[in-house]
Amino acid sequence: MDENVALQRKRIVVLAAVLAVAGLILLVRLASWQLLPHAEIDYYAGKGQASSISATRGSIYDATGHALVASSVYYTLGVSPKLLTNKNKQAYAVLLSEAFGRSPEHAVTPEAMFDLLSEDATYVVLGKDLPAQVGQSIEELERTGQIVMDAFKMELTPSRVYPDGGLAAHVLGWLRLQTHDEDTNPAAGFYGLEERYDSELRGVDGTWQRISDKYGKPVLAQLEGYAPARDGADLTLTLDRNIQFEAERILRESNSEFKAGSATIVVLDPTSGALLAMANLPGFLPGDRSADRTTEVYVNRAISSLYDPGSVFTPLTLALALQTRVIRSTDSYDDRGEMAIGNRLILNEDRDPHGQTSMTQLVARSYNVGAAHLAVLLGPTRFYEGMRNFGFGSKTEIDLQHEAAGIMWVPTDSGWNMSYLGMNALGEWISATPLQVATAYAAIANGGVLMRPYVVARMSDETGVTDTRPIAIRRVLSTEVADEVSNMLVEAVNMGMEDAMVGGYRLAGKFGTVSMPDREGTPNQYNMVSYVGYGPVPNPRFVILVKFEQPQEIMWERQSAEPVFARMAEYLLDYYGIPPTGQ
Amino acid sequence: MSKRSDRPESIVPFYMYGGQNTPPATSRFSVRSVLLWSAALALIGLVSWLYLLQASQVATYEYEIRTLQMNKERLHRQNAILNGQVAEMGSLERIHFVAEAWGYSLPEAGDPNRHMTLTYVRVPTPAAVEAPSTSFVGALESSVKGRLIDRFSAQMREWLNSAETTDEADPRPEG
Repeated sequence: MDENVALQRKRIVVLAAVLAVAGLILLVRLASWQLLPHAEIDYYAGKGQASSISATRGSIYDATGHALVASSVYYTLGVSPKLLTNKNKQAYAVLLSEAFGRSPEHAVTPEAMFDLLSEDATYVVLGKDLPAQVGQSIEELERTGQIVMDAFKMELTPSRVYPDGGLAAHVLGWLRLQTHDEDTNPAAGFYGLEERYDSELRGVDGTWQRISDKYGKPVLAQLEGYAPARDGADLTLTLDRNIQFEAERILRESNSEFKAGSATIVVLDPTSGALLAMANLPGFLPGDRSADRTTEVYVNRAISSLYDPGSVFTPLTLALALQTRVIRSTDSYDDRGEMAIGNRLILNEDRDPHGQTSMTQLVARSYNVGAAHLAVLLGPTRFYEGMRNFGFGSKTEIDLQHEAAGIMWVPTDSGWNMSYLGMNALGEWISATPLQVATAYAAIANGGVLMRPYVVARMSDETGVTDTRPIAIRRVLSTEVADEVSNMLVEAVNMGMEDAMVGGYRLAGKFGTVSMPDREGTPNQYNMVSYVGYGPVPNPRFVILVKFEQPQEIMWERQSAEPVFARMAEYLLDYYGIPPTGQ
Repeated sequence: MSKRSDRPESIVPFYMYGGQNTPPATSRFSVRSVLLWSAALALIGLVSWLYLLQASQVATYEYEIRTLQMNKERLHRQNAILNGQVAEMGSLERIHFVAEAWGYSLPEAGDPNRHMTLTYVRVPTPAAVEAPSTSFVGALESSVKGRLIDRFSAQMREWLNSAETTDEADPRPEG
């Protein structure tokens, strides 16, 4: 008996010791989980159990407050057919067919929907990229209890809405939507404002820490784990969609006649530098780029493509000559039809001498010899300093992506020689963007003050509103000289550019034509015609640049760029309600 | 061996050994201690009940907040979708399409009728009418007695005018 008791005692002691050791192990383990940091627990507690709340990408509005780009969502609906009963399948097929019918593209008959719901598969996608109205009606069915969504999975994909299709596409750029692999292919803006302001438009995604069941349905909330998304900033542009629409319409209609390889139009407010319209042909649809064969169509030629401005440079050369007082506006020169500068003989376009020629005639008839004569009087230092002041050879710093700086060789460059001075005065052997040329003309129209062009007038987000103020870069000309040049350009238009006139208004302007080499460098392969002008004089309200590259049906600018300028100017004069001066 | 013989020979766990002086079961707890234990148990029960009550309340609030958060996100999303739909409805292409369906079209830039013409009609200027006098003199003039004064004032006006004319006609000699 004693032995039994002793044995029992021994067993009890052993059992107690085992339990104590097991308890101790549990205690240590518990303390380890609770007190010591564990990366994998952090992972599951954080990312593993968190769902992202997508920030709504900011919208882009025009100057009149209409949306040019807005955000929306696409829905994707999937189902696990094995979780549905036959009765449910029949009822849901009818309801879902009605909901899908809200989008004609995605309409499905109840029978076809029933077949989808009855497929022998673990998971079936019922609809992809469903528009918002379809998704919302399915959500409504769930909310009213007509459909129990346990067997369904609805995913949302942010999308962009372009109400006016391809309007201002080159200014806006486009957005690559996020793919399923968000980490490697996040949504990102390309070209234009979408790229330039990507970080501001994007916003910050929120998170939702939660515990979900095996179907992803949240079963327990974690209050501290909710961080709402911070939506992206909305942009309000200086661009006016009515002006933009008209500019694109005029450009499209004109080019259907001229059949140019590309065409550009830029409209600026000279007093502030605000961009009113900017369009290029060929265009594209930012919301549907499936038809685009090359990325070249996305390039905003108004700021990224370089061209030789040609004779539109002559008034700038003249303005510098007047500013530096090497000539007076009443002066004339003896045009002998040719002039040698460096190792280059510069000839007039018509190869004829014109004798005593006034400065206004020089501009109106675009005499190359006269322009070269002014450049020689100025000398390289004053000429290139002046052109730099006009903004050539450097970016205008407009708030758009992929702006080119242009190419202007100066005497300190190794390849430069005196021939460059003569050719540059004619607007050749120098490359600029259309925006640079328009900005330089805007400086003359603005009384000699060069303004920085800009397109975003206002940025507003949750933290507040930021307005953009116009920036005056520098004074290039005195007010008197600027007014003098404006008046000379008005006279020049009346004298030799009648197609650019609008009855009852004083408009200033100048055409330009350049023969361009092809990509292999063979000279005189195609024409580049352009016209830059502004009005009304005095107190100009707009600067318009029109450019056609490689027009097939016309050879000279008067048949193309001048009437396009006149149409655009006439629209703007009407749009702003500017009364005619009667002159 | 002698120690072991002191213990009862029954199979009782060692921690139940109370020795010879262990009191009988009925007299082991006093009334006081029973009360004390009962109060402690009641207190623990009360605290537990309060805790559970509060915990369930917190869970309820959490659920409500959660629901509100979900509603907020849903409404936010709907707002974004509606913004997109508003933008689509206000598109220029749609406006032009609807306008064309109604028979309107954009005027050409050279169309002389594109401006609204306002014609101003000249209204003849009405003849000036003397406002009725509200002065004391005017009041007298309107009365019967005032006729005398009226004649008197007319005479005075005539006399004064004739005096001015005389002055103009006969200026003082200079120097």
